[in-house]
Amino acid sequence: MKYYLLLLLMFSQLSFSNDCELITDSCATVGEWKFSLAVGAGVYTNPLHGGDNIPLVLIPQISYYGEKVFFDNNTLGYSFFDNDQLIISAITQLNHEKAYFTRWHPKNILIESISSGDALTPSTGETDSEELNPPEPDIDVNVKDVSNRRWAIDAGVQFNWFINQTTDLQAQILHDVNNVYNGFNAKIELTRIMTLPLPNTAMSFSVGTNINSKNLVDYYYGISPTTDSGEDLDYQGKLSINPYFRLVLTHQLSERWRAKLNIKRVFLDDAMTESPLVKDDYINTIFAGVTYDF
Amino acid sequence: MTSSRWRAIIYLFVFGLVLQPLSASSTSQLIIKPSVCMVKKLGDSCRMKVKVIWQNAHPIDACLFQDSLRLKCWENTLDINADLEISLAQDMKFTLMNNEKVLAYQHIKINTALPKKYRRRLRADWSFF
Repeated sequence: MKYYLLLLLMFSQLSFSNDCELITDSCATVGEWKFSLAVGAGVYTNPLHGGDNIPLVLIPQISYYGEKVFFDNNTLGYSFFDNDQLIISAITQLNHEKAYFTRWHPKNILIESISSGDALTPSTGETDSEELNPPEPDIDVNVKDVSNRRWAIDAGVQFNWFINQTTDLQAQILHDVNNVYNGFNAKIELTRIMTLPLPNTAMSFSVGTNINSKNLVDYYYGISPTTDSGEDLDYQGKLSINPYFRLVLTHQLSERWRAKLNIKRVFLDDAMTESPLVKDDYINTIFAGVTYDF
Repeated sequence: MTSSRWRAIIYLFVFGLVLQPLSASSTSQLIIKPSVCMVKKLGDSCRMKVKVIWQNAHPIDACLFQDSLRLKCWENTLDINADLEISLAQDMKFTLMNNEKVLAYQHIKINTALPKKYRRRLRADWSFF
């Protein structure tokens, strides 16, 4: 029943104006820079062992849309095909995987044992399993193996298909251009914009998936064999498919002030969670605050 | 001389002091109509016929400049009421000068006739996170 209600909400006919005759969250004024600052409280969770969550307090956003060229936060693009429903752009952007490692402290590299003991050793339930299977000592990962991940710059193609006035599909396929992980990543995202039966309030709901090539996962989440603790600790990355959903709720308070709630959850593929570096099987982004448009 | 006479003389003196600068600066404001030129899109140059109006208390030589370009001069004139053809590609200052002295000036603006253009944003709101 709750799924039915969710679907009903998603595909209700309540909607924004479809075209871009006015500036909205979906539209930009051609030839003008837009700068806004969000202030509030939030967190961007870090799935790594020893990785600090990234607090979200002050978030600047900047964008520019020309006739063809656009810059939207970390993405620079050039739209070379444009009709009423489909826009194809060449884009380049910073790959954000490295961000998890920038909030990661090399001193915290003691990782819980990744030996398969937990999974393979059945617990009798009658005896203290720790006596039979004492916890294995934490394994020290070679700092050099995991702390020297580099920032990657991706470039590729992005497709924006505006299915109707309120629904659009975005797809992109990118390759790193500075020889960091020598692989691909892709994304498919369906976004639906809805008005709610509340004045000046709108909601956008997105479902999508990130696809990271084997080389990408291996570069960021793989571990080279190490014998530091006398045990082999290695992990080779595999192609990962990480689905996600995002909900953005906006309430216009005045001409320039808006209240905003942003919720996103990424479900990490086994290909990532099996890495000894990763402790969570999700990445959450939650932010609540106000934004001011300059 | 009675005190009332002195008072009258002082009043006349003060009144004269007040009036003097007014009569000396009795030139009027420069009026160029229309003061806005419409173009189809920003960057287009604009050409239009304008009316230039100006008055002075006494005859004077005056020249009208568009930025640093001299457009027209009048000799020993009390008032100006002329039609001029002007062209400009950006907002411009028009100045009426007597030799090096600025008598009056006015800005002519360029406005685009087309409303602002909008396009769809290609990144979802907060897609970085």
